[in-house]
Amino acid sequence: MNRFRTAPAPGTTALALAAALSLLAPSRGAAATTSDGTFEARKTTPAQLSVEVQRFALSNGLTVILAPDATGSSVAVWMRFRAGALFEPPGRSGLAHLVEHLLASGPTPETDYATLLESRRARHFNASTGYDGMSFEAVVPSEELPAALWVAADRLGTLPALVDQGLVDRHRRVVVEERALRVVDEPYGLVDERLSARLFAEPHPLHAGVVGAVAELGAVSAEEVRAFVASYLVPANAVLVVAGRFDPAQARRLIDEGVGRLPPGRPAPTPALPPPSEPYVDQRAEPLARRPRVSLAWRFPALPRDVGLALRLGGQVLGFMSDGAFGMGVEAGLLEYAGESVFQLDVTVPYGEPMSVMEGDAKGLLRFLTLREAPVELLHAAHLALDRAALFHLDNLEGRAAALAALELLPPPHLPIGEQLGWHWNLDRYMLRDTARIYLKEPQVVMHARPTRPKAARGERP
Amino acid sequence: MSRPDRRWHGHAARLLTLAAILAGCAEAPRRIPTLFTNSLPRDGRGKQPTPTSTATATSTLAPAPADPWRPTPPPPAAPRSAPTPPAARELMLPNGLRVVAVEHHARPVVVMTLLWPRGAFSDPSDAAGATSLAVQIATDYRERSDRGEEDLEEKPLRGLVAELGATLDSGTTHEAAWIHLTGYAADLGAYLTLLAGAVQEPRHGERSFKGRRDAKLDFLEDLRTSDDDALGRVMAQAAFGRGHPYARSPIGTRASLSTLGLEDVVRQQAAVLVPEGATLVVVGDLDARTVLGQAQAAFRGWQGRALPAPVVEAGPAAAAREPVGLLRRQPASTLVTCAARPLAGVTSSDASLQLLAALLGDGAASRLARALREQGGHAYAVGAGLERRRHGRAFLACATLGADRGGEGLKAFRETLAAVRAAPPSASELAHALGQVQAELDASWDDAHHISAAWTEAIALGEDRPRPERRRAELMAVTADELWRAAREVLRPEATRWVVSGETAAAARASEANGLGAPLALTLDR
Repeated sequence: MNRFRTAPAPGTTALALAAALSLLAPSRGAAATTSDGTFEARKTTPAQLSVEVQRFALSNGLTVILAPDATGSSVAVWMRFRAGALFEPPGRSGLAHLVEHLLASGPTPETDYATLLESRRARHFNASTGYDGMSFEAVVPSEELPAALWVAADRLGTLPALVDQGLVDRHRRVVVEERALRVVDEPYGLVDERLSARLFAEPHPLHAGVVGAVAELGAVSAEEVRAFVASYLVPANAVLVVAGRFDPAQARRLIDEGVGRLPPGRPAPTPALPPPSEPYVDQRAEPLARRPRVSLAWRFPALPRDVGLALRLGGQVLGFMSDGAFGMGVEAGLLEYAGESVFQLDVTVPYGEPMSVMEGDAKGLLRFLTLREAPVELLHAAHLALDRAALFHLDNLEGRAAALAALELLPPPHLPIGEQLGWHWNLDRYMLRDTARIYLKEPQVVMHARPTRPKAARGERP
Repeated sequence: MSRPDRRWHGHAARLLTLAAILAGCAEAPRRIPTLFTNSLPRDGRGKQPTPTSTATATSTLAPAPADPWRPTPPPPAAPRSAPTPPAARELMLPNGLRVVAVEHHARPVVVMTLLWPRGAFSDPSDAAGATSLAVQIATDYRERSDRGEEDLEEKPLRGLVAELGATLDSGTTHEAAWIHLTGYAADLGAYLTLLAGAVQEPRHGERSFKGRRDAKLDFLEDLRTSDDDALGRVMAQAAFGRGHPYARSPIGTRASLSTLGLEDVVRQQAAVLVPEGATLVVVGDLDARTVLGQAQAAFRGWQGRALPAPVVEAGPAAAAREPVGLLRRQPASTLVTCAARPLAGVTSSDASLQLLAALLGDGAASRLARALREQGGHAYAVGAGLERRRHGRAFLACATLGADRGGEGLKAFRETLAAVRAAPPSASELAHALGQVQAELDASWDDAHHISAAWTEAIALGEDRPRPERRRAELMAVTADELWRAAREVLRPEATRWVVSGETAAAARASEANGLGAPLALTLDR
């Protein structure tokens, strides 16, 4: 039964959907229309989405991006390597993330970068690992730029030699605790882990996610850590972003005298990845959350720019369907990383509902993209939302540095950031519909998360 | 879509965001834009690169630098330069609405918050949760036209705002309520008009009322398993005392919500959504003088007198040692373990206590991070903080201990607290704590969201404006001896209330291994 054609009845997903759709349904006096009835054009110029940068490469292959901005008081130093989970050798899932833990700060007083920078009022000192990249991040007051750049160089020059098996074992325990907190004890955490295992079936290097399989993590040796560092955490495989309040000439000098003198290494080739497998429907009991969830996921080889942007725009349109008053949650989005992309749609409702019905609802939401053109108001709001999110992201120093580093490690050509961020305005609703029809056909994985303690529908509440 | 990034340090762990732990009123979770999750186009010509194109194009070895890197000591610390807060202009309208405009011109955006100094404490005694619903449904559907007929095509306020490319949400704590909007600077006038219309003629549709009330009932029913919210409730009980008003649910209880009618909520809208005592804070790419004029024009017709300030009794002094409180959570592979210390009767200053919290649990070099994470491998995330409210304060420290070694973890946790009491902090530890708290102050002025948060947090606490330099001076004046005195005053074992969230057997093993007896199961105020 197509639940989207039935009359809304209280306590059903259809009611939630109907309410959600009316969030942006056409009505009298739509606020975004002009006097002649046309929709306002975009509200942001490419210049407003731009970041003025100086970009250069050092003789050791390190790409440097300087983005000075005198309006703030801090400076961000972001160093990102092509060294995410994609680059792990077979049987060693979780290695990249463990390396990140080992190299964020050192085990001796001389390499205790956390204490050094936090004592100097670093408001952000952290590191992260994703599918394709690993970042070391610091935001310090502008006068402490020399200390932040010293850490960036000393980390690569000094730390690898200090990694021994005892240190690896200690950090492995922390990573296992991180998995306990962020996967095992997180609502839908184990469901998502199963979904990843299906979407990235072995021999795909992401089959165990970024944290990795506990058994494989347990086999990692200090020697393997040092080998990974020597291969991937090298200047020729990295970008260094300095953004915020600083003197570019001083920064250039400090970089030349520090990270610029490190041995170059080699850029890492993106590994060849296995093609997506056959469609798969799976289910798992969800012991923590009480809301049933259906997820539809697709894995694609690297997508053309317009296709990727159309899917992101589609994710934004679907995101408008969430409605707090009626309890339906909809999240959708595209994740792009080296060599591949993943689109995922998650739908939850706040009461027990047969999974087959929820799967039908999720697919019904998709038909909103594939069977009709998105209403102009909805598409316009989605475009505006993407620009607004980009503006706020760039207003924040951490966001700006992260964006510049992430964009730099994507394959060339490298368009100016303002042009890249605003490119989605070239897409219209027909392109969105056609893209969705072509790419969002049969999902590669359908995952049902069945709560072990579902709740009664609201109408049945005592 | 779920984010695959994993971080080295657990700043982002929701469980240890102390404000979140004690907020106790999590409503719709805020969606975080994932625009930059490696999600931008990879080929300017729309051509699909082959998976190995990067490899073949760039795998050449760069020449080694002529002058190779050699280790050097770190550069010396630089003299501190204090950031300058952005200038603010303000205006008090005749109806009692205060308008604050702060210029921040980095990007063409605005952040706008309309804040009322009345929250759940102002709920009628027989209608707990009415304020929360009153604010929430004011952003929903109207459902009736001017002529009284059903008007289901009416858009929610959130929808009208979304059409302009902006977002809107609302919230309620015990002592404040707010509507928050982020959007384009160019549309500031339109946002002010929409917001003024929404508060002068609040929406209160029957269907949205029922939907929102049901969502709150769902939330309360889910508390058993949504651990951070449940933990927030029991931690509020531990931190302020079971009978303290802060320990009550700010969104009401199942009993109160079940009997609440739309008419109760409409009455509460009339009582709470008034201009007198409210503050509108607007931050962004704006001309402050112009904004004050626009706000005056938009809100001049809004009328209403504020409710009297609620009377809130001070919390009880810390009682004698209590058993470990247990929040049962199954299945669980972690023991989220917190020490709470009510501060009624404690004389140490806020500045001393903030530095004590930083020394204990702020940053990767804090005592708890070193003992429980870097050295012991007992926990991924640790944290400590001073919770300041209008009518009370509390000290908290938490760690997400592995359940399989919970006894060892709890022992290391308690030993860390004892060590902080036993000896004064070193000069370098004091410098580290000071650096962490100052960094938080400095960050208040770097972007629109931080500036807005600095203002609204100060106002919600009953202060007229953020005063970073005064706070900085107070922090700088704290000596190592004063910090130690605060530690001795606050971290007394007999005054510390332990709360553990996890599986019963694991919690019992951890508690008994530390000589703390069998844990006492806690009940949630639902």
